[in-house]
Amino acid sequence: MERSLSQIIRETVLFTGRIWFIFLLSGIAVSFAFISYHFTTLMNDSAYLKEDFLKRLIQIERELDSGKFSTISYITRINFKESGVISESSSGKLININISRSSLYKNIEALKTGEIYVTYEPDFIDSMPRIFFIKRYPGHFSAVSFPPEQFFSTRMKSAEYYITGNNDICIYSPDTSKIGDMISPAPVIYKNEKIVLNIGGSLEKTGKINFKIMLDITREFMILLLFSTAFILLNIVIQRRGVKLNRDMNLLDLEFTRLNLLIQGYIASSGTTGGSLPERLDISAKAIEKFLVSAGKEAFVFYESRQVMDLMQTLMGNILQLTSRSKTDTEILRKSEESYRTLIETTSQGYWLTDKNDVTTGVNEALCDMLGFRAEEILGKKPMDFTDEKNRDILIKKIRTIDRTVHRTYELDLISKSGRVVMTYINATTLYDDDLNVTGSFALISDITERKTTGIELRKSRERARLILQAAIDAVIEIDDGGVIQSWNPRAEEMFGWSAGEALGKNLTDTIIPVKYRFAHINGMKRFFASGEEVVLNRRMEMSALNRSGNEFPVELSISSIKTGDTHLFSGFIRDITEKSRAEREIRASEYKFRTLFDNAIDAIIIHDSESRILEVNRAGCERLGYSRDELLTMSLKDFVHIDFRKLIPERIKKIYNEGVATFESIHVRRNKKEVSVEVNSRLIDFNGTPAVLSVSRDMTERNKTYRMMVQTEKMMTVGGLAAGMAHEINNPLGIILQGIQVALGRLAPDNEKNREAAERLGVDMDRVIAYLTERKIFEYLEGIRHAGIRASKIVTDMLQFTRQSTFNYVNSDIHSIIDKTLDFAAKDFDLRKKYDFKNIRISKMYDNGIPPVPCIENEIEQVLLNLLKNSAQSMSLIDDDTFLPEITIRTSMDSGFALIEIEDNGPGMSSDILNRLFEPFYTTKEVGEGTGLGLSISYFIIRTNHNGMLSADSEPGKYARITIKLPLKRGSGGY
Amino acid sequence: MDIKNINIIIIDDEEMIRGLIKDFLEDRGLSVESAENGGEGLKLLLKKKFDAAIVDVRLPDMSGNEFIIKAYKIQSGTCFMIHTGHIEYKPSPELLKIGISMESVIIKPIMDLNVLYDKILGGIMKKMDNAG
Repeated sequence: MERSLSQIIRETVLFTGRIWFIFLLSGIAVSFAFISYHFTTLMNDSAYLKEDFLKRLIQIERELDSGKFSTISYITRINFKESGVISESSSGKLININISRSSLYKNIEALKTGEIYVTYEPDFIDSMPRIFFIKRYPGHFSAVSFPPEQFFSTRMKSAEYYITGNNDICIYSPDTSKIGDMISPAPVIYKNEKIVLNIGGSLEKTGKINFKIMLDITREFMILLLFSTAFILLNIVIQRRGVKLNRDMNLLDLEFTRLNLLIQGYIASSGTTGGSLPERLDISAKAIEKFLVSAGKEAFVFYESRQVMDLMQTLMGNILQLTSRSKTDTEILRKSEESYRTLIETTSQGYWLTDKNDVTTGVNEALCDMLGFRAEEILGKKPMDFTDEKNRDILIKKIRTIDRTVHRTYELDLISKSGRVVMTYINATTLYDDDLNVTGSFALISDITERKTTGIELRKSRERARLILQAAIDAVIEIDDGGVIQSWNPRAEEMFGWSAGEALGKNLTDTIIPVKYRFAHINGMKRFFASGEEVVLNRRMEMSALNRSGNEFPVELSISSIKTGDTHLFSGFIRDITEKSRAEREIRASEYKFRTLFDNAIDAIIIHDSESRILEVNRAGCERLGYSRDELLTMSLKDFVHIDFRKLIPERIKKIYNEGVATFESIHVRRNKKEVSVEVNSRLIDFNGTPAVLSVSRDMTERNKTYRMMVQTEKMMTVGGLAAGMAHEINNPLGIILQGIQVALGRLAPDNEKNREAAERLGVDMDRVIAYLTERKIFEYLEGIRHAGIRASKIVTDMLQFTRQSTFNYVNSDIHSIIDKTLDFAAKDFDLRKKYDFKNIRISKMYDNGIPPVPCIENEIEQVLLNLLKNSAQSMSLIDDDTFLPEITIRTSMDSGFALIEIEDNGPGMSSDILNRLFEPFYTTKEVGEGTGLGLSISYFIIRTNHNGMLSADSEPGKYARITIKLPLKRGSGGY
Repeated sequence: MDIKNINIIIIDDEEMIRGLIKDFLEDRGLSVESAENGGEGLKLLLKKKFDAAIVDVRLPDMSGNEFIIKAYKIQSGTCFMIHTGHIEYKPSPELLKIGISMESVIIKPIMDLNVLYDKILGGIMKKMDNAG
């Protein structure tokens, strides 16, 4: 049965081997057919072309040899003498021209009569490259030339084809871009990312002209490559598989053969020799047979099984015992012994035979392999020589304490020749003689290093668990059914003050359970055993425990039970939570801190429930809404949210409950009916154990103001950018206007000699001309134009200030001295054209002397102040009332990181319309020509952009107008 | 030095500016030539000695700076004035190296051509002092 099985596998392998060969053959055949088809096509094309080509050549040669000139249309023919002078020409041109200096002539000079020279050269007439066939005749040369494309009468689409001249340079191809390229002469070439089959043909007659046909076979090549690779891989896989299977089968065969031989040997001997020996042999043989049947069914690799090994050892031990004891040296027995020896020599397990003095008398090859020694190196030595000290002791113990009835199995670490530890499983039997004297021992040895390592891992992890327990932060205590302590880890020693030695064996109630829990503990245990009710098991509990000195402290405890057989073991993990209790106190303290924060927040914070009832409100909320906290706690959102937003409340609360957070705008109505627009940030929180909404509402009035300022700044920047581009362009025409007027006026000056000369020459009286121009106000106009030009130029210059990046250094300056200096300057800047007089204005200064020096560009601040003062003065001059006392108040102060300068006048003030547009470029209330409308814009730019400050205005018409300058006290920090 | 012997060249692509400055200076007795681009200006410099050149910064074929650097190689004795519409114009380091400073810059539009006249004469005198 075993044989037939192995046979089947063998045959399968052989069969598969044949199959792959067939596969490979057919694959190759298909590929060849495929390729040869293409070759045939190519060859046909090539042959056709070649034939065509040859026909042409014959035609040309005939032409050369014939005395008269032909009528072939594409051919040009000339005859020339040896001196190079053309004597005849088919076109009639070129006659008598000497070509002896041309490169062509130099190449043919050496030709012998009858020889043909073929070349590719520019033609004499039109310089177009042509193919020349030149033949030498006695006394003259005859040349035929034609364009290369005339070589072929037809074109083929299936292939590319070329005519190549000397050195494989392409002289003609239907694809003109190829002309001049080098065409490789190799039969298969890689060209332009393609694999190309190159079929060349040369014309023996000329030796100079070749033609080539090329076919792109990239795709075919790739397919072939793929096929071949696949076949080769398949081949390798099948072969490898086959070899492996074959080896396995051979191994198996050997084992079976050996065992069969043995069985046969014993069966044969059983009939001839009587007595106890043959009987026992028979029993042994039957046992082997029985084993073989079951082993054949279950596994091929039978010797791996430890049970099998034990069985074999027993059997072989028995056999060995029997044979060695036998004094009857019969032929059959010797044969049997030989068979048996064959078995042990070739078994895959180590075999070790020693005499009564433990000296090795026999080993097999497997043992030598296992230990890496040669047999001679082991023979004569003791097994103890192949172990370390620890294992030597084990071994000696095992050998000395011989159990005389059973064979023994144990594990032992042997040392191989290379020093490696070989973990083994040893199955040994002591051998006796007939008088029951020990004659030696016999062992079968298995290498179990790998399996052993896994065992070690397991033990290690068990050890690790123990170590973890030892090092646990929690005290771990185990008690038995009776509450007696069974285990007590180091942390428990530390926590409770009892050492493990002291605690083990004591009752838990006597050690760590406080008196008040003792009763409950005993009852709990009773209840558990009575009903299995696990009140405390696997649950985290907080209680207090007792340490050795009698102090109670808070602990966290969880207990689990393990049932082993009929007894229970309870493990308690106990954690000291003294620290945790402290943390809880700290949380309460931080809650207080939060409360303070809550109450001191600038934003109104309201906590409400899903029904919008107010649960909590901070101080800012009370102030914002104008109600007391007690009042608000009885109110709902509906009571102060603006009617327009009131209906949105349920929807918004729903959104917060669904999404956790939400932001929206709303209007709150104060108790005094004043409306406040707010931005509300809401968040779902846990408030005293129930979900609630925490809403932070911010007053948007301020933010909207800031937003308007930002828009203003943005507008200014845009104007600035526009101005820069424009100014440059306007300056040229302005120059023309201004200079034009100046030159014109210069040429009208009566005292200028040149002017007079010109006037005289033209017969005009200069004085009269001037009188006329004056009479007709021409000079006034011209002057007007000049003024307009100057004004425009000033506007341009002013506008450019918007874009100018300040390169001045910021100097920490005393703003009061800047103000004083500016006031001095303003008083002196008395202008007749302006209707006001600065001296009449009362100036009152209210300086805050605590203001530190402010980083600024001094003259820019002066410019701003002067501008503001002038504006004030000018606006006050509009009041036509003798009793009016104009007054400018200058106030300075500090406000959260800023220095404030307020300039306030008691003039007519400004309407809100004017206020809104005050800083806009070109916006002016002054009469045309009095101001450009850029003064305040530039001031704004200086303060806002250059100083990172803020310029703002407020006014009450008829009472006052006030401009406030805010300058940051530190550069680079804060500011707007 | 006779005013008539002072030669000025104006390089500006704006015809009216070129013409008006030329007329004005000629009325004041100076000899003036003009060119509408850098290339033409350089050609003139190769032909004739100029005491001063008024150069626009934006020229069609090259920048005024470039022109001056090239022109300086031809006539280092010329006093170069830069005429520009850019109020923040500053001479480049190369120009500073050949003695052109903010004093040589005239910002467009020129409100009073007399100022230009004075500046040119002043520049030429200074140049002559340095040379002499």
